[in-house]
Amino acid sequence: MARYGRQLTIRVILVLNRLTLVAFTFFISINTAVAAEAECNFKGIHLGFFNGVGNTPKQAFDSLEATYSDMSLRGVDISDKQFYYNETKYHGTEDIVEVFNQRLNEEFPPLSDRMELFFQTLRNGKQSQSLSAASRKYLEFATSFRKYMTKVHVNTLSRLIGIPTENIYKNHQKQLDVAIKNKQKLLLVAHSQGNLFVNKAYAYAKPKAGSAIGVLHVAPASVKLNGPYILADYDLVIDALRAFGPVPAYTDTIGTPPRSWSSDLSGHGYLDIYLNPKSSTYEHFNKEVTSIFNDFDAKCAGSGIQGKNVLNIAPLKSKYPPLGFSLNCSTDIPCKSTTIKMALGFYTKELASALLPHVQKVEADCAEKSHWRMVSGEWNKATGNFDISCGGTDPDNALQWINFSSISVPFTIDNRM
Amino acid sequence: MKKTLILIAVMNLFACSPNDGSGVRPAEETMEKIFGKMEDSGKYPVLDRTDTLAGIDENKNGIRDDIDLYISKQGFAPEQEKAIRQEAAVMQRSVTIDVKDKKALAKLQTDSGISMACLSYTKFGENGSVRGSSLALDIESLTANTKKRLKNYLAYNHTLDGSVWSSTNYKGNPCVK
Repeated sequence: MARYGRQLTIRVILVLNRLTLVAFTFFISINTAVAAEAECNFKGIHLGFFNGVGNTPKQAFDSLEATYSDMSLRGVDISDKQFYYNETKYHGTEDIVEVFNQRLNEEFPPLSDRMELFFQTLRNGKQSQSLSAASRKYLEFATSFRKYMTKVHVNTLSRLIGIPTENIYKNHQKQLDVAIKNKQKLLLVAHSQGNLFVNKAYAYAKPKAGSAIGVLHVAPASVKLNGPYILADYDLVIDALRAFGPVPAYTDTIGTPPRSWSSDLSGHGYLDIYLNPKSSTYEHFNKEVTSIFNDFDAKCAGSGIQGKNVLNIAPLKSKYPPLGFSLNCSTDIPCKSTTIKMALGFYTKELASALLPHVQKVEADCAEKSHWRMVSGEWNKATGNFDISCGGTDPDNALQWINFSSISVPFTIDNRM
Repeated sequence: MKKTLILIAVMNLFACSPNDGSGVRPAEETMEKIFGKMEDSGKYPVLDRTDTLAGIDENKNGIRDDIDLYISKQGFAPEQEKAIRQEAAVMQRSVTIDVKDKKALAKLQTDSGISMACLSYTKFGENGSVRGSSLALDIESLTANTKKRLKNYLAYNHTLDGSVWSSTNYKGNPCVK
């Protein structure tokens, strides 16, 4: 009898210990989940584009659309896209128009008021290409003007560095606040002078966005960088800026682009050079974007909190299927490492829903047997599966812990937001 | 055989030389003539160069008649043409706007965002291979085609410095019905 009593005490202690451990682990998990929620509970990606030198808003819009299309093709789910416009202030915008008009008048007096050639020549548009094919003189004129504009852009950029443009920053900050308030991850892409603005945007948004912000610098006109960057060796604009101060070393050797794939004489164009699929910078661009997304995912993968970061359990035939659970990653352990901790969920639909709001599926309710129904599990490194068990005290013997069901399930975490 | 080859070589030499024998390239046609030919053949649009910001819009559809004609010659499908015209009307307002009229500026910026979003929404080229937003650049240059219009357009752009634009703010089809 005494022996039975001792055994009972030991069993009670064992069960209580187990329950205490389970409860403790559960509350730890809840706390971790709350912390992870702050870090990882995002609703999509906000793509922000900061345009380069000499862009009109329509050009900047087009660059944003091209960036978006490229990312969409690669399966990146962008929920919101905006461009943060900054106008290029030459020595007075009108001066450039006057210079162009004067040159046109000198070379081709009858054409002096054909000012559609201003944008056409700068961008080598459709009409400019037709004219270049028909007239060597025009081709020389257009080439000469684009070279001149390269110098103007260098001069403009060299003056911009260090000059604050507070009203522009404030407008940009308002939009960043909206994106942060909407719980969006921020992917900011900047080209040329846009890098000066994106650095300010980053400094402003980083304390609020935490790790949910990534910057990709393209042809940076600033040595200050807040993320990976891409710079072609043939970028004459950035190269010329070296005379005014330090700029980053080039990352891609593209040489002189053949006329067959780019007529950009400056080597600086966002679409003509950097996002041109024939340039090595294009693959580099996509590699860096992927890397930024992997960084986002590494910080949040396995949290079980994001909408799609859900462990999918195969339908179970067991009477007591494992139900609520969430996955947590601790801040000191990378989520993609071999250690992913399994949190616990109470085994009732109501409790699971109330306490673990991130549990996506609660398929059954077996609470009628006992309120001590729990799911536990751990990731099996050898198989790559999650070994999940549903357990609790025996309905017929409160001192007996039994596993009602267990299952080993392959899982995939959809890292995309 | 050898003599024949030499003869061909000599003939080729003459064929490659300037026809006046001066060693100087033949004078290129004047740009005026080149433009004339291109405009006659339809390779280059005949544009309105009247001295006003608005130019001529006889049918009062908000698009300058020369731009209207240019669009109709591009062979767009009806939905595409509609999207381009929406953008062309916004561009026309952009070159004629009074930049001191803040209310009009705000309305134009909104409408400009919508028309660009419409271009992005509409599929161009085979399976949408052409970015609709890129077509706006053609309309932009052709509409701002005189010094007066270009300067006013750049002044309008100046007012947009620091603005933030989106094409995802417009749910569903952003094109004007």
